[in-house]
Amino acid sequence: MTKYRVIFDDPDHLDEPTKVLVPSQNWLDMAMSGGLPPIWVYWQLQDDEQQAIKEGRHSTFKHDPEKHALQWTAPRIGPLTEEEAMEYLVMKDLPRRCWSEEHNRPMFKIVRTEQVPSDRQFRNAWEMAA
Amino acid sequence: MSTLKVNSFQDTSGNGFYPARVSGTLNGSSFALEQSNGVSSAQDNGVGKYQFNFSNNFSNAQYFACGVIANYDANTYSSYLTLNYGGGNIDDTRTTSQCKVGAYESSYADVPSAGVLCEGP
Repeated sequence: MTKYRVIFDDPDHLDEPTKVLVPSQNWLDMAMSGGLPPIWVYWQLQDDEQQAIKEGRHSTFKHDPEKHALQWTAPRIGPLTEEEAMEYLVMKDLPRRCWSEEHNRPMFKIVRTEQVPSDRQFRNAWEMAA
Repeated sequence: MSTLKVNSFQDTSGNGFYPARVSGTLNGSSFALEQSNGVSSAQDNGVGKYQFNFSNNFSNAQYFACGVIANYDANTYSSYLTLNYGGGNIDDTRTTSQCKVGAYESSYADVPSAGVLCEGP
Protein backbone atom coordinates (compact mmCIF):
# COMPACT_ATOMS: atom_id res chain seq x y z
CA MET A 1 0.00 0.00 0.00
CA THR A 2 1.21 3.48 -0.82
CA LYS A 3 2.57 5.55 2.05
CA TYR A 4 1.71 8.87 0.42
CA ARG A 5 -1.20 11.28 0.38
CA VAL A 6 -1.57 14.71 -1.22
CA ILE A 7 -3.11 17.56 0.78
CA PHE A 8 -4.11 20.68 -1.10
CA ASP A 9 -6.11 23.87 -1.13
CA ASP A 10 -7.88 25.16 -4.19
CA PRO A 11 -6.73 28.78 -4.66
CA ASP A 12 -10.12 29.62 -6.20
CA HIS A 13 -11.95 28.29 -3.12
CA LEU A 14 -9.78 29.06 -0.12
CA ASP A 15 -12.84 29.11 2.14
CA GLU A 16 -13.28 25.35 1.62
CA PRO A 17 -11.56 22.83 3.91
CA THR A 18 -8.19 21.43 2.90
CA LYS A 19 -8.67 18.45 0.60
CA VAL A 20 -6.91 15.09 0.83
CA LEU A 21 -6.14 13.01 -2.23
CA VAL A 22 -5.61 9.27 -1.84
CA PRO A 23 -3.90 7.51 -4.76
CA SER A 24 -5.29 4.26 -6.08
CA GLN A 25 -2.87 1.39 -5.59
CA ASN A 26 -3.95 -0.11 -8.95
CA TRP A 27 -3.11 3.13 -10.71
CA LEU A 28 0.24 3.44 -8.90
CA ASP A 29 1.12 -0.13 -9.90
CA MET A 30 0.32 0.73 -13.51
CA ALA A 31 2.45 3.90 -13.30
CA MET A 32 5.36 1.99 -11.80
CA SER A 33 5.15 -0.67 -14.48
CA GLY A 34 5.28 1.93 -17.26
CA GLY A 35 1.67 1.99 -18.43
CA LEU A 36 1.03 5.74 -18.52
CA PRO A 37 0.84 8.09 -21.52
CA PRO A 38 2.71 11.43 -21.44
CA ILE A 39 1.03 13.89 -19.07
CA TRP A 40 0.28 16.36 -21.89
CA VAL A 41 -2.32 13.90 -23.20
CA TYR A 42 -4.45 14.63 -20.10
CA TRP A 43 -3.66 18.35 -20.12
CA GLN A 44 -4.88 18.62 -23.69
CA LEU A 45 -8.20 17.04 -22.71
CA GLN A 46 -8.49 19.24 -19.60
CA ASP A 47 -7.84 22.38 -21.64
CA ASP A 48 -10.51 21.51 -24.19
CA GLU A 49 -13.07 20.71 -21.51
CA GLN A 50 -12.31 23.81 -19.46
CA GLN A 51 -12.72 25.91 -22.58
CA ALA A 52 -16.14 24.33 -23.18
CA ILE A 53 -17.17 25.00 -19.56
CA LYS A 54 -16.01 28.62 -19.88
CA GLU A 55 -18.02 29.07 -23.06
CA GLY A 56 -21.15 27.46 -21.56
CA ARG A 57 -21.24 24.45 -23.92
CA HIS A 58 -20.22 21.72 -21.51
CA SER A 59 -23.58 19.93 -21.74
CA THR A 60 -22.97 19.15 -25.41
CA PHE A 61 -19.20 18.92 -25.25
CA LYS A 62 -17.38 15.91 -26.67
CA HIS A 63 -13.64 15.33 -26.70
CA ASP A 64 -11.94 15.31 -30.05
CA PRO A 65 -11.79 11.57 -30.89
CA GLU A 66 -8.09 11.68 -31.84
CA LYS A 67 -7.05 13.49 -28.67
CA HIS A 68 -9.25 11.19 -26.60
CA ALA A 69 -7.75 8.06 -28.15
CA LEU A 70 -4.24 9.21 -27.25
CA GLN A 71 -4.94 8.07 -23.69
CA TRP A 72 -4.55 4.52 -25.03
CA THR A 73 -2.53 4.97 -28.21
CA ALA A 74 0.21 7.47 -27.22
CA PRO A 75 3.60 5.85 -26.58
CA ARG A 76 3.98 4.96 -22.90
CA ILE A 77 6.47 6.92 -20.81
CA GLY A 78 8.09 3.96 -19.11
CA PRO A 79 8.24 2.89 -15.46
CA LEU A 80 8.16 5.59 -12.78
CA THR A 81 9.31 5.42 -9.18
CA GLU A 82 6.58 5.81 -6.57
CA GLU A 83 7.67 9.41 -5.96
CA GLU A 84 7.61 10.23 -9.68
CA ALA A 85 4.19 8.61 -9.95
CA MET A 86 2.93 10.85 -7.12
CA GLU A 87 4.23 13.92 -8.94
CA TYR A 88 2.51 12.75 -12.13
CA LEU A 89 -0.71 12.24 -10.17
CA VAL A 90 -0.53 15.78 -8.77
CA MET A 91 -0.19 17.17 -12.29
CA LYS A 92 -3.04 14.98 -13.53
CA ASP A 93 -5.67 15.09 -10.77
CA LEU A 94 -5.16 18.38 -8.92
CA PRO A 95 -6.58 21.57 -10.44
CA ARG A 96 -3.71 23.02 -12.46
CA ARG A 97 -3.97 26.38 -10.66
CA CYS A 98 -2.80 24.57 -7.46
CA TRP A 99 0.64 23.73 -8.78
CA SER A 100 1.33 25.72 -11.94
CA GLU A 101 0.72 29.22 -10.65
CA GLU A 102 2.71 31.13 -8.07
CA HIS A 103 0.94 31.80 -4.76
CA ASN A 104 2.09 33.35 -1.52
CA ARG A 105 2.21 29.88 0.05
CA PRO A 106 2.32 26.30 -1.23
CA MET A 107 -1.10 25.10 -2.30
CA PHE A 108 -0.29 21.40 -2.05
CA LYS A 109 2.02 19.00 -0.24
CA ILE A 110 2.82 15.34 -0.75
CA VAL A 111 2.82 13.89 2.75
CA ARG A 112 3.06 10.52 4.44
CA THR A 113 -0.19 8.83 5.37
CA GLU A 114 0.48 9.14 9.10
CA GLN A 115 0.75 12.93 8.77
CA VAL A 116 -2.95 13.15 7.90
CA PRO A 117 -5.11 13.23 11.05
CA SER A 118 -7.14 10.07 11.60
CA ASP A 119 -9.66 11.83 13.86
CA ARG A 120 -12.30 13.46 11.62
CA GLN A 121 -14.23 15.21 14.38
CA PHE A 122 -13.26 18.67 13.13
CA ARG A 123 -12.69 17.63 9.52
CA ASN A 124 -14.09 20.81 8.00
CA ALA A 125 -11.68 22.91 10.06
CA TRP A 126 -8.57 21.24 8.67
CA GLU A 127 -6.01 23.65 7.28
CA MET A 128 -2.68 22.99 5.65
CA ALA A 129 0.17 23.90 8.02
CA ALA A 130 2.71 26.35 6.62
CA MET B 1 -18.44 -21.20 -25.20
CA SER B 2 -17.17 -18.57 -27.65
CA THR B 3 -14.25 -16.22 -27.10
CA LEU B 4 -14.33 -12.73 -28.56
CA LYS B 5 -10.91 -11.31 -29.39
CA VAL B 6 -10.54 -7.85 -30.93
CA ASN B 7 -7.72 -5.37 -31.22
CA SER B 8 -9.91 -2.27 -31.25
CA PHE B 9 -13.49 -1.00 -31.46
CA GLN B 10 -14.64 1.69 -33.90
CA ASP B 11 -17.77 3.81 -34.02
CA THR B 12 -19.79 4.18 -37.21
CA SER B 13 -17.57 7.05 -38.36
CA GLY B 14 -14.49 4.88 -38.08
CA ASN B 15 -13.19 6.60 -34.97
CA GLY B 16 -11.64 4.56 -32.19
CA PHE B 17 -14.22 3.64 -29.55
CA TYR B 18 -13.08 3.06 -25.97
CA PRO B 19 -15.97 2.02 -23.74
CA ALA B 20 -15.05 2.43 -20.11
CA ARG B 21 -16.34 1.37 -16.75
CA VAL B 22 -15.13 2.98 -13.58
CA SER B 23 -15.97 1.84 -10.08
CA GLY B 24 -14.64 2.57 -6.65
CA THR B 25 -15.55 2.37 -3.00
CA LEU B 26 -13.99 4.17 -0.11
CA ASN B 27 -14.35 4.30 3.61
CA GLY B 28 -15.53 7.81 4.37
CA SER B 29 -14.56 7.56 8.02
CA SER B 30 -10.96 6.41 7.70
CA PHE B 31 -10.72 7.61 4.13
CA ALA B 32 -9.19 4.46 2.72
CA LEU B 33 -9.78 3.65 -0.95
CA GLU B 34 -11.04 0.10 -0.62
CA GLN B 35 -11.72 -1.12 -4.15
CA SER B 36 -11.18 0.63 -7.43
CA ASN B 37 -11.20 0.01 -11.12
CA GLY B 38 -10.35 2.79 -13.56
CA VAL B 39 -9.79 5.21 -10.67
CA SER B 40 -6.49 7.06 -10.30
CA SER B 41 -7.30 8.66 -6.95
CA ALA B 42 -10.06 9.49 -4.51
CA GLN B 43 -10.49 12.83 -2.82
CA ASP B 44 -11.76 13.76 0.61
CA ASN B 45 -13.24 17.21 0.02
CA GLY B 46 -14.68 17.63 3.51
CA VAL B 47 -17.29 15.97 5.70
CA GLY B 48 -19.54 13.80 3.53
CA LYS B 49 -18.05 15.07 0.26
CA TYR B 50 -16.01 12.65 -1.78
CA GLN B 51 -14.62 12.64 -5.29
CA PHE B 52 -13.33 9.93 -7.61
CA ASN B 53 -10.75 10.91 -10.26
CA PHE B 54 -10.64 8.61 -13.27
CA SER B 55 -7.57 6.94 -14.77
CA ASN B 56 -8.78 7.90 -18.24
CA ASN B 57 -11.24 10.56 -19.33
CA PHE B 58 -14.65 9.66 -20.74
CA SER B 59 -15.35 11.12 -24.17
CA ASN B 60 -18.12 13.37 -22.78
CA ALA B 61 -19.62 14.27 -19.41
CA GLN B 62 -22.97 12.57 -20.08
CA TYR B 63 -21.72 9.13 -19.04
CA PHE B 64 -23.90 7.04 -16.75
CA ALA B 65 -22.95 7.71 -13.13
CA CYS B 66 -24.36 6.19 -10.00
CA GLY B 67 -23.24 6.89 -6.46
CA VAL B 68 -24.06 4.78 -3.41
CA ILE B 69 -23.45 5.54 0.22
CA ALA B 70 -24.03 3.52 3.37
CA ASN B 71 -25.83 4.67 6.48
CA TYR B 72 -23.57 6.80 8.66
CA ASP B 73 -24.14 4.55 11.65
CA ALA B 74 -21.51 1.82 11.39
CA ASN B 75 -23.64 -0.60 13.40
CA THR B 76 -26.42 -0.53 10.84
CA TYR B 77 -24.09 -0.26 7.87
CA SER B 78 -25.31 -3.40 6.21
CA SER B 79 -28.97 -2.78 7.07
CA TYR B 80 -29.43 0.59 5.42
CA LEU B 81 -27.83 1.38 2.15
CA THR B 82 -28.35 5.10 1.80
CA LEU B 83 -29.13 8.17 3.80
CA ASN B 84 -31.99 10.47 2.89
CA TYR B 85 -29.95 11.99 0.15
CA GLY B 86 -26.92 10.32 -1.27
CA GLY B 87 -25.32 9.51 -4.51
CA GLY B 88 -23.39 10.93 -7.38
CA ASN B 89 -23.17 14.39 -8.85
CA ILE B 90 -23.57 16.46 -5.72
CA ASP B 91 -22.92 19.58 -7.70
CA ASP B 92 -22.69 20.64 -11.30
CA THR B 93 -18.95 20.20 -11.67
CA ARG B 94 -18.90 16.63 -12.93
CA THR B 95 -16.41 16.42 -15.76
CA THR B 96 -15.07 13.71 -18.06
CA SER B 97 -12.27 13.07 -15.55
CA GLN B 98 -14.02 13.10 -12.16
CA CYS B 99 -17.32 12.51 -10.40
CA LYS B 100 -18.30 13.50 -6.88
CA VAL B 101 -20.33 11.53 -4.35
CA GLY B 102 -22.00 13.00 -1.30
CA ALA B 103 -23.73 11.84 1.85
CA TYR B 104 -26.34 14.20 3.26
CA GLU B 105 -28.84 13.99 6.08
CA SER B 106 -29.83 17.46 7.27
CA SER B 107 -26.16 18.26 6.73
CA TYR B 108 -23.25 16.50 5.07
CA ALA B 109 -22.13 13.46 7.07
CA ASP B 110 -19.25 11.03 6.87
CA VAL B 111 -20.26 7.48 6.04
CA PRO B 112 -18.50 4.13 6.42
CA SER B 113 -18.82 3.37 2.73
CA ALA B 114 -19.23 5.50 -0.40
CA GLY B 115 -19.03 4.18 -3.92
CA VAL B 116 -19.42 5.20 -7.50
CA LEU B 117 -20.08 3.36 -10.73
CA CYS B 118 -19.68 5.16 -14.05
CA GLU B 119 -19.99 3.80 -17.54
CA GLY B 120 -19.81 5.33 -20.97
CA PRO B 121 -17.73 5.86 -24.08
